[in-house]
Amino acid sequence: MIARSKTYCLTEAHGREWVEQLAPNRVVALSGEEKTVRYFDTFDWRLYRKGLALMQVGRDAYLQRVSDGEIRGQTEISPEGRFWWTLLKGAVRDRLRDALSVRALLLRAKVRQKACAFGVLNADEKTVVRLFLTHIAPDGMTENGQSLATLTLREVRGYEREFEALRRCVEKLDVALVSDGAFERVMHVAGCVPRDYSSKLKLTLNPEATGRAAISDILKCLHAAMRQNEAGIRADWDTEFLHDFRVAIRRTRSALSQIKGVLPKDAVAHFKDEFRQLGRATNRLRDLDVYLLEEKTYRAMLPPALQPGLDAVFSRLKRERERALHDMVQVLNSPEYHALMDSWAAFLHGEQAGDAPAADAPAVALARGFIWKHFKRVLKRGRAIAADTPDEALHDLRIDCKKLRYLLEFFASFFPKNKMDELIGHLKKLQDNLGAFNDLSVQQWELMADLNAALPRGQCEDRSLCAAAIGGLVAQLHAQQRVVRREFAHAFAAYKKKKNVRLYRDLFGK
Amino acid sequence: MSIWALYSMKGGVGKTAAAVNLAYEAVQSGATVLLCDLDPQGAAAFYFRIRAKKKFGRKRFLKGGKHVTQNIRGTDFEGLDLLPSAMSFRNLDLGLDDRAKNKNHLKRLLAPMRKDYDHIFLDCPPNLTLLAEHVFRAADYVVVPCIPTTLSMLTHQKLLDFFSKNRLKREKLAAFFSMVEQRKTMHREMIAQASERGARFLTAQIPYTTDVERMGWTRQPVACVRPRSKGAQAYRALWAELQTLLAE
Repeated sequence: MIARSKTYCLTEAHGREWVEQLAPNRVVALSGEEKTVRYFDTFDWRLYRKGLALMQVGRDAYLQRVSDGEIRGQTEISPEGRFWWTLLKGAVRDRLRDALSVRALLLRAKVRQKACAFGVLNADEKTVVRLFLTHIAPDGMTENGQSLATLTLREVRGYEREFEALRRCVEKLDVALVSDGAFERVMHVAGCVPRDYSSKLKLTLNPEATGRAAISDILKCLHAAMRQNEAGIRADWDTEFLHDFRVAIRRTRSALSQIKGVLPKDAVAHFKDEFRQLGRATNRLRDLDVYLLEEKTYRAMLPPALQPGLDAVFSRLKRERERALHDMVQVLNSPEYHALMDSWAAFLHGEQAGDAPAADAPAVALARGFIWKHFKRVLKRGRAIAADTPDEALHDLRIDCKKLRYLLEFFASFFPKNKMDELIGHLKKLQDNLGAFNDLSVQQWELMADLNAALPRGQCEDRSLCAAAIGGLVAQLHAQQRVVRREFAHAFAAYKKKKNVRLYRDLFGK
Repeated sequence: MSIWALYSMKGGVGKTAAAVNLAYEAVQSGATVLLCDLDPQGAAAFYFRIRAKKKFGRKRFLKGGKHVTQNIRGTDFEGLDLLPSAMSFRNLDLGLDDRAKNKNHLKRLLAPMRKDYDHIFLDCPPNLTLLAEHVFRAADYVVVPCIPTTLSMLTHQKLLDFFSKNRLKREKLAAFFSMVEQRKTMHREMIAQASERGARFLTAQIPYTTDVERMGWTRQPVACVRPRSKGAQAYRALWAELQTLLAE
């Protein structure tokens, strides 16, 4: 039972008098208000992608459905914390927990909104159509905003004829219907582009492209991703900026080493080495992030009596994270980093000197070859793993799967989307198993290595409690890891099914 | 969703005024409300300056479905809609008599509206006919305004008896004192006696005030014209108390 409404774009010249002239002597002003509206979303627009918007007026924040503007709930956003767990307990928080996960809410847009409501009356002085004159202006967050005035006609139930008559009257005048939704209009006013960032690699390559053109496009896209995440790492808004930054580095390194014979050899060797070093500089901070994100899970693994033993561990990890963050920011601010990013951009955008054998070969053919080769390697390595094979083989397979995944994602636009989605879906399931196995073994190893460093230099009692907690945790992680290892056989059996192999052969086989 | 019937066997006790003002209070708290005028006098529609569509009448009303929903009209207050009555509603009983042996036709008729509204208010005509029985079955609560006079109290007793005799749930009844004039000894005593006899009356009372009478002029809910007046406050308190019944 949503009332019909129409919204038209106006110019500055269309003011209150103009509205009153639409139905002379029958328009009355009902209310007017002016407010600043702030819109929050994550860096990768998680709310918008779910059709939601979080807007704040004064202290109150409202969760709104984008499609029709319906308010779904109310909450408050405190300036200190902007994660779902810092919101007021309630329905909105529950809804946002799933949508936001570990990402922070950032202020994405801020506008000044002036709205006047009018009623069009009939002979009985009954309101039969509602009018809203709205003026939205950017509130100084960016320079590319542009103010907008609109008139909205809203039907009053049971007065369809009056609505239609007024609509015809308005449309005779020189005004245009707005094409996009109310939320998109506000974003446009604020100079903001929803979904301008995604942690997924989304690029459409030219199917006619040469190998060198295609790899340039891929690498430019990854270069942009690194740059986009810098600010978030520096400000430490949430942990995913660093995560995405690292993924972009890994993808870059993977592209440089997997897509062979397309770029000049010496350049590849030089940048591969540079990005390996950059990647290494991010490792410690990411490890600590993962630990701290898992704090609750770790605690829940232990019986209540042992849980206080972890206090010392986590407070030490938190202190260490501060140092690691400081180091990371120093890297981002260093002249070496800027020189690398600049020379990399110059290399990608400039005429790339130096010969490479496959530079002018069609990219589609190259992609087929690389993917097919890697797929065969994954199959071979996977088949060789039995129940008693050492754990290292699984780690190697995990790396191979990751490389294959990156290749599939780089060149996805060359092949039918539904088939690529299916392939990536299957691969992802296998990767989930291998990833869990790897995480569990890294965590055990790290905890053991930390055993000495983590023990508080205090009372003997504290030390033994802490050691017991770490011991308990390692035992738990080990048990979990065994379960995951047993599940590998199923995961791989599902992956090497004939149907999946045929899919690869049809798309990429020779 | 809950259905509230404003009902009294006697006329002129403030049913329509209560229906209009309670509906307005409900909307003010953010709910969506439909006010259904079952009284052929059409006073509720008058207060909201709404005229029924010409073709709307008893027959269409009883058909239900889109015949009813097409005739719902929005009031000047967002979230508050009204289904106007028509003169032919004076014969609603006849239609109901033809239709069904059981007395749930009105309940079924309102069922499709449940998803659109948080509250439905029924403004009923003053008599104890077949229509009233349908109302008693459809409503979650039957809200009864009583003027604190001897006759009114007798009438209320008759209603209680009727409920018992017809195996209707007496818990549905929520009576309140209406048009109360504290300066009249009679009113004060009747109210005191009612509570001594243990009759269930709501605590909130609607006083006899000119604010409520002036609604005929202003054609708006009391709280809309004078939000701080005695009348407006009384209806607000009444609505708050009725809300607590839902929680029980």
